[in-house]
Amino acid sequence: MNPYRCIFQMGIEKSLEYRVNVLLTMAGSVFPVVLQTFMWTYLYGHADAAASTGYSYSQIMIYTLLATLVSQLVSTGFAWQINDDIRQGGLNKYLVRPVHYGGCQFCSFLGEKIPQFLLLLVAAVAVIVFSMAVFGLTLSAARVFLFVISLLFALALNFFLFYSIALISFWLTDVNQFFGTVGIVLVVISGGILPLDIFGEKAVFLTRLLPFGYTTQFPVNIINGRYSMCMVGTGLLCQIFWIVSFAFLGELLWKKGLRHYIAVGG
Amino acid sequence: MRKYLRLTGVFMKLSIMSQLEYRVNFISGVAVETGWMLVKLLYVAVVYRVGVSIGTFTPDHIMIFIGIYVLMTGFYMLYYPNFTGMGKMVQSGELDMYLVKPVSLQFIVTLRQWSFPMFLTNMTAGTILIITGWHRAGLPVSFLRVAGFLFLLVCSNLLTYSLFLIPNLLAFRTVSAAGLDSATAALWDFNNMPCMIYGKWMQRIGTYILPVFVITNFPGLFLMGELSPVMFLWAVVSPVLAFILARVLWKKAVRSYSSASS
Repeated sequence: MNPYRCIFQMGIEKSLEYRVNVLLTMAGSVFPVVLQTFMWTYLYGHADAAASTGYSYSQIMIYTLLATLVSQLVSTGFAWQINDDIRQGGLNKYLVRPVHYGGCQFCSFLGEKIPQFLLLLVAAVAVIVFSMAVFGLTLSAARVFLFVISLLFALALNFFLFYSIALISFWLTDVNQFFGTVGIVLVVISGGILPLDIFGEKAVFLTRLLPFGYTTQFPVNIINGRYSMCMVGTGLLCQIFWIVSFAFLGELLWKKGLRHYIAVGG
Repeated sequence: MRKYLRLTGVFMKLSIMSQLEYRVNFISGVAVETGWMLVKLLYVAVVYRVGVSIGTFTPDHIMIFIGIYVLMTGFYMLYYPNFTGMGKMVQSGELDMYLVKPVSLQFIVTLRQWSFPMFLTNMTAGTILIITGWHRAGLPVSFLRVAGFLFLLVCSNLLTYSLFLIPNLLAFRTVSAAGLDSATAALWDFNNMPCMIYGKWMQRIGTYILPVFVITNFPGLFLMGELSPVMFLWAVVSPVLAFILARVLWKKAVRSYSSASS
């Protein structure tokens, strides 16, 4: 059997092994959504929030409901594993086999995400149907299709982004806390908590220029109708550009990092 | 009482020494908490961006509420690792070692470790937010107001300790309380915004049944001269009631403990 397919299947099994953990993690994200729902309802009910944020009430509510789900979906947890592999010599077993370490991590990541992706799709469909009934959201099949495509790109982009960050472990001794900080900051600047383009023109410019917004904010803004089809097309191209860029960066860091690797332990 | 204060001092000193031993970890801890601070400050930014007022409270007043939430998070984080570590102590049987110590078991289990990196970050940011909001809102500064505010902060700390210890007692019964931990953390985060944005029923539940809103909202309301005498009384009584309840439940939980070690 192809080793990558095997690792992919192992990823699925691993994810299903800890299914209660997946469910609890997803359930835990409900509370911030409740908080934000109250907050936005109050802000839009008592001030002209639409003028200052640029989002209509329905757009911001759909964003609130979907951003947490998307953020959870694209989230990664393999950086700590890579750090352990590098520090404790676990990398050795990959180096002596005819497989690429990054490829193995990618297949495992995809496998782990499949059950979550299916769960998210069910939740997203429920949110979309709810939004259609309550907020008058109108959707075309093309927009739904582009949302799913952008979601897959977002997954790949976040993988390569975190893979590049994780490979910094070659040069640093203990980066566990560093990954924690980076993880939180990236959730914020990707729009996982609030859409960042509500903070004016400069924020809009930066979110379009930098790669982070393309992991969460961009897919959600496709479905809530904030982006025109032209902007969606441009955004998808930007996603591809950043995926390729980070894939190259990851490969570069891997090659340079291996020269530093001294294979301790293992 | 004096013995426990002295012990607290010793525990704090030991915690600082062990945390400063690994300075990079200490700095990293501050960095992680700064990341979380960014999330909290986003809400301040949104309030100012929209320029909304909640009743008579302007964005400057709202900044005080969020500042108190940040400050209280710092105090909570000081002893939070003890709460999350309880499950491990029960599972490994490490609790046995503390059972034989000549001090209160609840004290030594829940107030043994003190996490200063998280405290320092939140305390600094929270204090800055409160003072800035206080100054910008033009609220008067008097001895009574400051003393009353500090007294209510002490009450809020007792309430936080008691209220959030209760769900963690489930560690005596369940193998993993990870889901519970994330639920209580999320409950705490409801204080990220003043309770006035929530519906009437939610405000009542959060004030009288599960008094999380008392923790950060009441000191702020007192500072703004908006806390009625009845509510002030509740701010003092509810921590005492919660502490008694936590104490009773603690004793019950310990009675059900059976050593898991050899």
